[in-house]
Amino acid sequence: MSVIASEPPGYFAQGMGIKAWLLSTDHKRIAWLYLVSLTAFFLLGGAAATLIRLELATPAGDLVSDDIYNRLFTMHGIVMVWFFLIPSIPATLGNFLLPLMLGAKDLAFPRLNLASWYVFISGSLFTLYAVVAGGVDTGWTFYTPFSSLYSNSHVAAAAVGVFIVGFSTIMTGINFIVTTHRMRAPGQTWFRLPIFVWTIYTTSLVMVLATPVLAATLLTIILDRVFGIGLFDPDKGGDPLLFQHLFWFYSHPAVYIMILPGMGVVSEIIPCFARRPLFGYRFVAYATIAIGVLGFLVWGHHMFVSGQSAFAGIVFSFLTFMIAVPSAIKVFNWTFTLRKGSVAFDAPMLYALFFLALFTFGGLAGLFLGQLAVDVHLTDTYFVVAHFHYIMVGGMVMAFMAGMHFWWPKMTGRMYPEMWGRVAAVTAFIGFNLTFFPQYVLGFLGMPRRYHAYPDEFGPWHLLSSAGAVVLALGYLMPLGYLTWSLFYGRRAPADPWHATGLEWKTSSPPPQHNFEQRPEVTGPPYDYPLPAPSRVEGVEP
Amino acid sequence: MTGDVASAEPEATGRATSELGVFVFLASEGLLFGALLLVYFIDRLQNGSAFVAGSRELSLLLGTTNTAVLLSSSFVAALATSWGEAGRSRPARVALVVTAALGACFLGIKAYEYLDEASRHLLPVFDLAFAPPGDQPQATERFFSVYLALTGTHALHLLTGMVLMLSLAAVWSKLRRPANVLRLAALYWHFIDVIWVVLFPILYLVR
Amino acid sequence: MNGIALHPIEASTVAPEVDLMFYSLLAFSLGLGLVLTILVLRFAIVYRRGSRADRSDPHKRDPLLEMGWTIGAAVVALGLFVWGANGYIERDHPPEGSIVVAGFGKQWMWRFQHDNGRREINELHVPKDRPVVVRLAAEDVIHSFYVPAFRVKQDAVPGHTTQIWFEASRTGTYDLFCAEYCGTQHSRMRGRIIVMEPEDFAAWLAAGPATQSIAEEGEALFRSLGCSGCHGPNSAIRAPDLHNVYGHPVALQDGTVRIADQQYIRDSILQPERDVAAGYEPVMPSFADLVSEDELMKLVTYVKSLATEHSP
Repeated sequence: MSVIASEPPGYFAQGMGIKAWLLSTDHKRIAWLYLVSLTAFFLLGGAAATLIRLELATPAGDLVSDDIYNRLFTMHGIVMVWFFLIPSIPATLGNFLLPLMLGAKDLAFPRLNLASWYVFISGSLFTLYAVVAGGVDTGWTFYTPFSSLYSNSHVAAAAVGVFIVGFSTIMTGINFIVTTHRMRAPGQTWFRLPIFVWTIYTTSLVMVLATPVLAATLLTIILDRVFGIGLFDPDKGGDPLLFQHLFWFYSHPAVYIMILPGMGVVSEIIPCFARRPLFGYRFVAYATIAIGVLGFLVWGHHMFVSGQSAFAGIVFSFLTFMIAVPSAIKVFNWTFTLRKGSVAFDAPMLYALFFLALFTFGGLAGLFLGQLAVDVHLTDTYFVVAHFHYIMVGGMVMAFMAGMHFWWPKMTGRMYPEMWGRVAAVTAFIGFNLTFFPQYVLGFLGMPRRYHAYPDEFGPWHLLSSAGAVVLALGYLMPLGYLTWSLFYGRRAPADPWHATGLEWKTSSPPPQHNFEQRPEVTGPPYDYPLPAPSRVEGVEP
Repeated sequence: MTGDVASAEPEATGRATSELGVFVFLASEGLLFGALLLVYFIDRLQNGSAFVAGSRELSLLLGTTNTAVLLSSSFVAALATSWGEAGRSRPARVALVVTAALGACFLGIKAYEYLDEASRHLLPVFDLAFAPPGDQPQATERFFSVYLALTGTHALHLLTGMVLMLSLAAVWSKLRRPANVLRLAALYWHFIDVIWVVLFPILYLVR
Repeated sequence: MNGIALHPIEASTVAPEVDLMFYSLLAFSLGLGLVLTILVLRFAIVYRRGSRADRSDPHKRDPLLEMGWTIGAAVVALGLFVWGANGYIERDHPPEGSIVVAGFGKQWMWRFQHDNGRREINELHVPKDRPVVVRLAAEDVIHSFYVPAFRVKQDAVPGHTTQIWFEASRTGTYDLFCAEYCGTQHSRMRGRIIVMEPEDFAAWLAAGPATQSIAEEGEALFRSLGCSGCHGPNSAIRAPDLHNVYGHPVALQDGTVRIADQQYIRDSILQPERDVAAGYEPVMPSFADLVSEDELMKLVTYVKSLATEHSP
């Protein structure tokens, strides 16, 4: 194992001690702090999911009690949404890459960035306390009056935890917005930005504008449980529907916080492995903004059977179909990027193509749910569960994996084992479909959500889903193993292993602490891929 | 985010960057209050007369006094800013302490108001006895719930602002460019003031 | 019912319509998915790295194609929206002459009461080929009345009265689920809908213990709570006569007009000062702490009956 002498030492050279990691304001190190904590939360949420699928393998509620089951799916939801999906790509890849893609040496507010991680951790401690002390049984949606008056679990502690994590999200969002505005490289106009930056920027706007509404909503629950101020208590004249409006005003945009960065990652990877500029770059950029804006206007589609007026239902249904349009535009653009290209199928590309497939099928299921008459039957059933897992897990986690493999050489200076990468991608794809496709069928058959025990007729599909979950788990555990292995034993990565465009590849792998020896300049559009491509992407032999 | 801009930027650029950060943050804060205000307005539309009855029970005198106190604190904060920019550290620090003191004065009056209302059984909190005037106890209770949520959240912000002002005064001489930090802190303080200027009429003046 | 189910039973008049939409969407989705899959596979194979495919036409933009699929997607989305919205509007308008049942959700059971007073728990008997309206109230948290075989669902929200209607088209026993998470035994909050031939249903209904109808119970409450003291025809205090109020527009003090629906009657009992009828003093006290959800439903039903018994 020889270190290549001509390469600068990279940011790891600043020290590997605890203090060097926990007190550094280097965005690259903070990205790692997030990555490690998010992985831990992903495993925690995954453990809850495992128990849920085990329980649901048979119709009788026999493995755990109903109270435990309710706490499991609540923990799964809270942990996966707020402690994994929302920070996932922005806080790890976004943190690491945004300054690099802008040719900057760090984010605009490095100390704020570090602070956001500590806020994140302290929020997570509250939530973990709630879990250890006996759990929460409200579902991640915290619907009143159940959460405010009837639940006997640790709702306030969990709500405080999520409330605090919200601050961390807002801090990250502010940091990214200001960085994108003020720290772009010379010559890097808005329409020379990579789509990843566009999506991170839009995501940050949504974070900053939607999260405070969640904070206010959670605050009202805390006020209710701790101080007895019943803002949504029907006995005091409050309206539980108003809570739902406020909650979904945040939580629907939150869906786009979760998926937009994934779209950004895929928009980087597909052009690189097809050796073609992204098809319709401007359309994709505008579609990103359109999704961000329209995302604020469709919250009511979670409430078609809640008792809101039919008029409201129709307006929200209309807006919901409108938001399908920019998503469809993106899918077509990614597909046509492949045309006339020179397509290679390395692991990042496989993950990206699987993202494309799963996102499309999740999105198409969204049409069913947006259509009012069909939604009346499907809402609150497993159809919804399958739909958002296709988007969040099939879409977002696939994109996260794609990005992790694509930028792994940049982050670590090591190559991951390519064959393992491909095997894991295919395994996860198969496992995912086995797990969640049956849930579409279950939903159509009428299986309600959040059921601990269910009638026998749903049995076979649940069993298939549980079996698929085993394969899926394997697909997720493999990368954990080989990526960790490659940290120590992987081949050394060159500065630009994929021959990709983008400023992040113009510096060494891993980058030096100040990212660039010289501030890079941008002189042309992004994705300026040349044709023909090198026949084989080379790595540096050990 | 105080003076936290990646170093070696020209000072003016760095200041504009931090200011942009604070404005984005304030937009976010605005939506926090926006959500609570939405609850207020929806309830007000539904329970017009009861809200008027509830508002009559608030002390207009104390509310007006508090508005005056907070407006003067903003004025002092503005003075501090201009003294800071002029490099007059001592008066700037004194002004910061005065700003925080006026904030404390506001909170004191607010606390007295709460106590007074609690003693008149007007606060639907902690299982206290609640016996509102008027013949629509339920709707009047809504008014006081919303009143508590709005003023309580505002008071928390004010407390944060006071801590900010006092710690800035304390570490003033250790900062590289304290005047810049002061500008940002003052922005936050003015924001809290603006929120109160919205809350005061809708809570105290709708009678 | 052996084997693996792929399709839920259709047992109401709206079910075939919903299923038609569902399968049309499915066909559309599979079609689009297939086209995309073929495109991706074709591009991936033809333009795989190292192939000898023709790659001329580099970097050429194609605005026509972009505009084409943008407009195409918008048109398809609009069409789907209109189709689905049509079916949804009907939900709010139960047909004339429907049977009315009162339904209460509480942790963790469903209670129903028929027009003639017959009560059931976790079971609801309904006749075939007659529209049935279930008026829903929740006594604690939010529940949701869901009958997959009928393709209908409606939340029961505390503080609101909601309603759902269906017309069963097949006799038999069907699952009733609570579809909104409501606490510990949410998954046990299940019941059965029993659809009977109309004559069997009439016999079943008549066989119940002879009790008062909901409206009669409401009338008794109306007297015992003292409502009749003011709203009665000969009372000294001026309060609106409640005959023929339900379903008609009411002029309010603030100059607006509101249709006296369930929610209005309900609000007027709980928060009488909110929407006072024009020309009357706001003197009525609130009954919020005096009546339960159950009793509210009875009072509303009684007020409603006052409107129908005198109309032709």
